Amino acid sequence: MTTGANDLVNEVFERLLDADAPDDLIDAVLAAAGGIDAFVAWTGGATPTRPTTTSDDIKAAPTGVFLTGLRAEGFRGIGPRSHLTFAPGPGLHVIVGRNGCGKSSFAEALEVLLTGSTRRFEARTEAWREGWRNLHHTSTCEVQATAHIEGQFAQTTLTRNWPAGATDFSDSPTKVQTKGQPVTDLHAIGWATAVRAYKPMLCAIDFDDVAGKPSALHDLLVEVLGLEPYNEAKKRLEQHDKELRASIDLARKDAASLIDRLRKTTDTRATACLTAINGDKPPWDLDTLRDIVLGDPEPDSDVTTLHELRRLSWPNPDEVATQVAHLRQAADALGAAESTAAKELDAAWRPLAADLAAWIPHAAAATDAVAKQKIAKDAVSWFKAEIDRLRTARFQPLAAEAQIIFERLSYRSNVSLLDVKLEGENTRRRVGFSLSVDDTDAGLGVLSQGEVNALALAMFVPRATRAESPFRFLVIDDPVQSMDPAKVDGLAQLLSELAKTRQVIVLTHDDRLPQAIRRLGLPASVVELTRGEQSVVEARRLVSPAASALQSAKAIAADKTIATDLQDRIIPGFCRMALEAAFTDLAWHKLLSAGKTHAEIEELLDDTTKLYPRASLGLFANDTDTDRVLSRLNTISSRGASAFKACNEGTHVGVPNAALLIGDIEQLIGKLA
Amino acid sequence: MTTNFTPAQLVDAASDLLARPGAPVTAVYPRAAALLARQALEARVQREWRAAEVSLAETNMANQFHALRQLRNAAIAGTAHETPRHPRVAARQPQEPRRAVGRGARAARHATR
Repeated sequence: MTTGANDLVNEVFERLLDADAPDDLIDAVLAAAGGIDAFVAWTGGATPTRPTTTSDDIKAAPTGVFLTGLRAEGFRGIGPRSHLTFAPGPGLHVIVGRNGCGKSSFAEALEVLLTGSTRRFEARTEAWREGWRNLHHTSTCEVQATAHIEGQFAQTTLTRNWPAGATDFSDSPTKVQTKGQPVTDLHAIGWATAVRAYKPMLCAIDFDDVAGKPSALHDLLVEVLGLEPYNEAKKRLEQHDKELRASIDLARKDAASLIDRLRKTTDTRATACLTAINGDKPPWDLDTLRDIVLGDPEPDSDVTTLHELRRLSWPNPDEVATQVAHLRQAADALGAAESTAAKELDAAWRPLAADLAAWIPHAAAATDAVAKQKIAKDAVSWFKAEIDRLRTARFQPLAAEAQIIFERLSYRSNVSLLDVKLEGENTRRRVGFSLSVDDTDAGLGVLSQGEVNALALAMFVPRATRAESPFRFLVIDDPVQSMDPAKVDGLAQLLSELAKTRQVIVLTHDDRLPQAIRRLGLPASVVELTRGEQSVVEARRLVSPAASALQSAKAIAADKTIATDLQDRIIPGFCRMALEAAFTDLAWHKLLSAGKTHAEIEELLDDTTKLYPRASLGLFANDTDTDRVLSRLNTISSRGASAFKACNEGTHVGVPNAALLIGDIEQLIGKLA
Repeated sequence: MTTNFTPAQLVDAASDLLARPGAPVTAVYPRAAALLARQALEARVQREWRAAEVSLAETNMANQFHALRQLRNAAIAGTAHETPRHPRVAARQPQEPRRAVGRGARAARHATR
């Protein structure tokens, strides 16, 4: 749920209008939401522009990404170049193999490409981290993922490579390139942020988050709620409030000091200044103060009197000859006294007046800041309330989904997940799990390792499958560990359910997951990885959804306890399922390459439940060329058209000797692939 | 030619598959049972229309089901329509049902007037 500046401005504007907020609060919130430039302009006196569109008008669907391949060479457990391929579209892909066969190396390769590192690397010691290069393949080291981005005709590759001898893992950044376009990076295509919020990979170390540092899981989950832009806007306002407070505090401190000095001065102007300042809190009568400090002296002040005395003209010396010397002496004494007193008074006043004059602009700014601070504080309070509201509202569906998933994975368990909440703030933030065992409240400590893993999955899946995430794939490394058989069945069903709308890639060393998938007849592609000498890693496809349906057909044909005429009724249905799966895979390939969006493809597939239109989609990338389907199938396989027809009709009424149909369909599907 | 099972025989065969010991833990039998049950349902609906004054047995199965509610037993028709839907389809906004086209559809619409 990442929100850009424009989205945020639109979102908050709608909320402010709904709440009938005053104009100055609207301006402050919009400025903070509009980014640093808009905010600086607002603090300088500009009025932010009000949006004319609603958030619904401008919200675009996120671009969807499916993986088409993963390749690694000289990386971790993989020596010579090895690769995995995936059909771009929803589906379940299971990669099985013993420990050390290179499974996790592929998962880590993807993590390294998308995040720059792996949590496993970061958690280990320096000595362990140095082992990221394969020991048997010391020439070049490269990891690459290919992906199909919705709306792009060509595939996009993400690559990191290191020359022979390179030891610094961070030396090579991820290069992103779509064929025919310039090389770019993850930030440019918006994945750097999206990976943090919706990280589509769950590795073994991530399972420990549930029982790990309380704040770590909280932070992971909060990121998906899309509140970061709200927090950033709030921080801008808080910083502004802090600066305003500092300006006010400084002016008040200076006011207190000036008041103290004014009180110690006998100058009548000081008394007038004290009346104008009237305490250390704004507002102050700065106009009067300015007049006193910078204007003419008052007419009746002592200084004025002394100045006038100094300008006196004396009587004629002839008339007061005898008094002259006397008077002169007296006048001289008076002049000296006047000069000293005036000088003393001015000497005390002038520096004080200068300081008062210097203080006036700060006092004016502080007076202005008081009003601004109130607006900033109101805006901060508004953001706090909005963040709290959104946190609860946006987390609720995730928590509800997590509860459902945990329930499904806890089949036959006596532990229930009653509630999940984001609790506390700052250093006390955490995810609160309300658990019960046999209807008694319990803490995380009651969970077995298998249940901890189930809880981790329950928290991961809702986050990674948000509609706002651009990633339509999930990669889960070793989710089966420590799960009992009932949970493995639940996991297989959950993964299959997710795979209806997502590309789910699961890596596991545990045979129980592919076994459960086979036993439950869930459509999946199963690939086995083996690692030979010199770290040669090879992938071998064991099962695909089409192959799985054909396996069911073969199982019925081989079952001697089912009468042949009943087999003839059942087998065509399984063969039809196989064809449908094969054409669906083909349709995803063709329609993505034709530039169709994921939503368009899904809608087309949902609306083409009949076999002919589905085949037309797979063969010609449209659902209307049904008349050309049989002729095209005949060019692909000699008995392709007749086998196709037999499956389609036989699903309803059966086909004689249906067991013979299986080979023809298998051959056709093999050639289609 | 395949054996002409009655709907009841197909349902019995489906039940038999579901009652097998391996059925709860393997998907093959339940899926095979579902395929047979579907054929039983389709055969029964077709038989219904063959016997009816307005014969829709030659139109496609979707039309036969659409007309079932109006012309025959609404309760049974309702059950027949309760087919599981893909979660994505179910999550979509309610839409006008796609208008069936063709001769059979026209006949079905005419019959329901």
